[in-house]
Amino acid sequence: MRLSIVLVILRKELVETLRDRRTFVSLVLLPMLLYPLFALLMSRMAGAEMDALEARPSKIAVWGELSPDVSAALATDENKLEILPWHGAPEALRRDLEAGAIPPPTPAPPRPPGPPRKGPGAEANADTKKGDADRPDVAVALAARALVGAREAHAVLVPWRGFSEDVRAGKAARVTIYYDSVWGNSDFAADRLDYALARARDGLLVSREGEKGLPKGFTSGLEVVSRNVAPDERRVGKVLGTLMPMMLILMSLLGGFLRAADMTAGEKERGTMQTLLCAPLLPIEIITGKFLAVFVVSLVTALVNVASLGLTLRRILPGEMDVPFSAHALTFALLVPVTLTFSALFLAIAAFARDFKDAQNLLTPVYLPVMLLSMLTSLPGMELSVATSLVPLLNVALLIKAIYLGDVAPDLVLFTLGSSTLFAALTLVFAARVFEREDVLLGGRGSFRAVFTFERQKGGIPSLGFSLGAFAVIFVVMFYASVLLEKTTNKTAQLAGTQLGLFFLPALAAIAASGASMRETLGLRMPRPRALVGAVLAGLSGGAAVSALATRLVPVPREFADKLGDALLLDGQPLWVLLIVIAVLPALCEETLFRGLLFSGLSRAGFAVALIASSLLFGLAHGSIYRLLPTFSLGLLLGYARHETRSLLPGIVVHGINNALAITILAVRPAWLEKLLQTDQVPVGLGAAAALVLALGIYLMREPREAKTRA
Amino acid sequence: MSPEPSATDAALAAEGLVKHYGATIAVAGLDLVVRPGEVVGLLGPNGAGKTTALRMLAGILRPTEGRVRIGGIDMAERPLEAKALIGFLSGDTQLYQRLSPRETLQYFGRLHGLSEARLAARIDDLVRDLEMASFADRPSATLSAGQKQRANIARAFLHEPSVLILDEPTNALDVLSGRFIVESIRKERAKGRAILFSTHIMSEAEYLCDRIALIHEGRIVDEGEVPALCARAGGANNLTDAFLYHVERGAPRADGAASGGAA
Repeated sequence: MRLSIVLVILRKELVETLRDRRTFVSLVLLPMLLYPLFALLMSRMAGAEMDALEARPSKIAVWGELSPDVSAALATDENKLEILPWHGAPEALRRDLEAGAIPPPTPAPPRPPGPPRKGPGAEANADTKKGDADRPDVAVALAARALVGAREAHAVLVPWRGFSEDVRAGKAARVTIYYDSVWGNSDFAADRLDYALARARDGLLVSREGEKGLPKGFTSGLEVVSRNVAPDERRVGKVLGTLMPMMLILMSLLGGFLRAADMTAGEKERGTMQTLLCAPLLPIEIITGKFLAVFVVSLVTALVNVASLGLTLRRILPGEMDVPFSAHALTFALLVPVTLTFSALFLAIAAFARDFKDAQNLLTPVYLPVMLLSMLTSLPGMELSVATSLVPLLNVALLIKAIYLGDVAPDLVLFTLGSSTLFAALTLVFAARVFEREDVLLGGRGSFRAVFTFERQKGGIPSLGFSLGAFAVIFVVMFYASVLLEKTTNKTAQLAGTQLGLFFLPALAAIAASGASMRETLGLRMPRPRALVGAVLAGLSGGAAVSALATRLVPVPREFADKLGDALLLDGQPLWVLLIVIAVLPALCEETLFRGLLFSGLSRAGFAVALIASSLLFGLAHGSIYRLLPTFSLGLLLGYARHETRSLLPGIVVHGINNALAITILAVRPAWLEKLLQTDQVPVGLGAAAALVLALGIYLMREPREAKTRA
Repeated sequence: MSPEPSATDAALAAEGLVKHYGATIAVAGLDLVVRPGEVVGLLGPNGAGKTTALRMLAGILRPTEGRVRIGGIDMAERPLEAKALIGFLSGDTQLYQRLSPRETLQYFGRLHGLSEARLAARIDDLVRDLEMASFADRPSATLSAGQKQRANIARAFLHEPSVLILDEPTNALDVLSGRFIVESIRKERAKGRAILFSTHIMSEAEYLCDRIALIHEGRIVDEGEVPALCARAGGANNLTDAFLYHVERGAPRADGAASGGAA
């Protein structure tokens, strides 16, 4: 692939995009107007609704006799309560209530979260049979529901029989509010009623204190004032976080959607595709140029959207509620892998279309799940977890939500970025496959299926797409399986099972299924003795050298190190078990997966790509941000060993010795580690010595030039 | 097909080209040779396989069987080098609507790897030769059909290819524009280019072509200079009659006749 050609194509596509007025309107103008308008509309609607609620008095049906003082306290103008005695009460019920035949509901135990503002029995659930015993007022609740449901009153207030007598006698008089929390007007009426009753009660208490000659405030005992302590950005963020991810993602992808259809199907429709195909270009150069153009357009759209949202927020929110700039920057950063993935996906699918309209028909089924996934974000309780961080798109949408809510877990950011990057790579491979098919570019669609079938190869190393795809499947299965395995108490079996059942066997099965040569893919050859000596040295020193550096760059919190140490010790298993489960098995199994299946396939894209990508995935698979840098660096060392020696064995040796050393020290001489970690950093001297040994090991593993050329 | 001229020193050579689209056979074994400085016309009714054949020759479609060599270079083995020698144009080719002809030429010149200096000089030459000065900098969407086709011709000639493959280049053009294109093609022949050209217009073919290949149902049914072709077509008076003779007969002629024409 020639970069200069790709850039020529990219430049031409961008020039065409810029000259298209439709693009400008939908990608720049629309977002610039959308967010301010949306914000304005929201605040207007919310404000108007509130105003309307406040202007109208609440109609309260009172089924029972209030004492004159309470009655008077409720009826004051400022309460805005319209008292309707016995309004809508069925005759039979009224008789029962007047006769005191229906006992009041027993006060529910106080619910810890939330203020018990509606008092006992407020949320009468008349349907539950089981509740009937504690809710003897079921007949009242049903009648109240009918009345409120018919919109004849906003709430029903029942002062139970003997209310006035109790008030006069200085006892606790009982009253129940029936309302419908789902109906805004009813909820609001209940709030008003609640407030008015509280004021009436305060009045009663003051007069009782006066009668008994008690000091003021005697009966209150405690004065409780509740204040909402959610920080302002959290409250603003809640509204934003639920709606904005959806809008941001949908708007950003829209740009790519339109351009992808135009650059593939549109170009076919306009008869320009074949001029491009008869030029001396590789299909991959054409797709890459076009893909980059779609990606750039999507990114610009994303940027415009984030900027417009940011400016809108700055305008409508008072200064202290401002969403910080970093939140917007992070949001934009998250949109990068998403736009990457969907640029490739849209382009690959649009390529099958004969014309623009056809492209829209094909793309809509892809866009719909995108809409659904991003809408899921606004569901309450839908939050970023390890599970959701592996679902494409949803993970980013939820992470954006978390950013606006101000609670972001670094590990989950890592998972989200990692899995998004993996999806992006997979869709790129898919798109490249599509564009290698001539009939696709010329407008046929018969090959839709052919793109997904994979032909078993004969020998050699697996293809890039295959090994990435297989890895993605293994990774996802591993994750869900480990969630299930977490329940097993036997940590030893769990670890061993993961290594063998989720890394080793699936990797071998995948290689066998691809038809690739097991020997070449896994590098099953005996390295030279000096390379093995080098591997031993690297295994002994690698961990210390890497941690000396990593602990300085990303300090590891003490609790994390302790927890990890405890977990690795497997509840006091003997050392030989630890060595097998923590050193031997991971060395064998992880090397088979990462430096076997994955590295071989990736190496088709070049050594550098294979080295960095396999190390990154190796690091991410260890699932913690504090371990990312050390495991990534270790991955580089292992990838280097695999490449230089063309054998898996040195990597297994390095990996095994590294792990064995760590676990032995941890199990046998924890005091050493304690001393080492006192400063939370591996000492410089030890690090330097380890680095020297490591350098020697790397040198020994290096294959001499003539051996390489012979190969 | 007779091996003379040999497939390796010809500018363009097709050997046993076959193209299947599923069960449909679009081209059923096509052999063709075009030498430098020669214009060969490909004539056939609609659906005869002309466009498919020309697309395979231009490297846009991969043949199901057979092979294409351009200047001795195998299209399947070294597609980029082979394609670099070809200028392709078809009647339904369009221009990028939002680019001007000059920008389109710059785009394709860069894709062909021309240096900026050479590209600028080539564009100046083509704008002059093809009389494009009045519209070279207008967006292509605003051009007339004749102007667009001149810009397309310029694109096909831009990198001075040794082989020109032109699929009905005068399709849907008025007489004046069509004649202009035809004259431009003659000028390219004078420069020693090998030109393969398909058309519906018999007079155009008679005027322009050194040899004619008649294609019917995916096969070449006869090939040769116009008088020989007419003589073999039951003594037809002109190319049109010879064409109709073959189409109505339906069946392909024996190979011997075709090889006689090539001599």
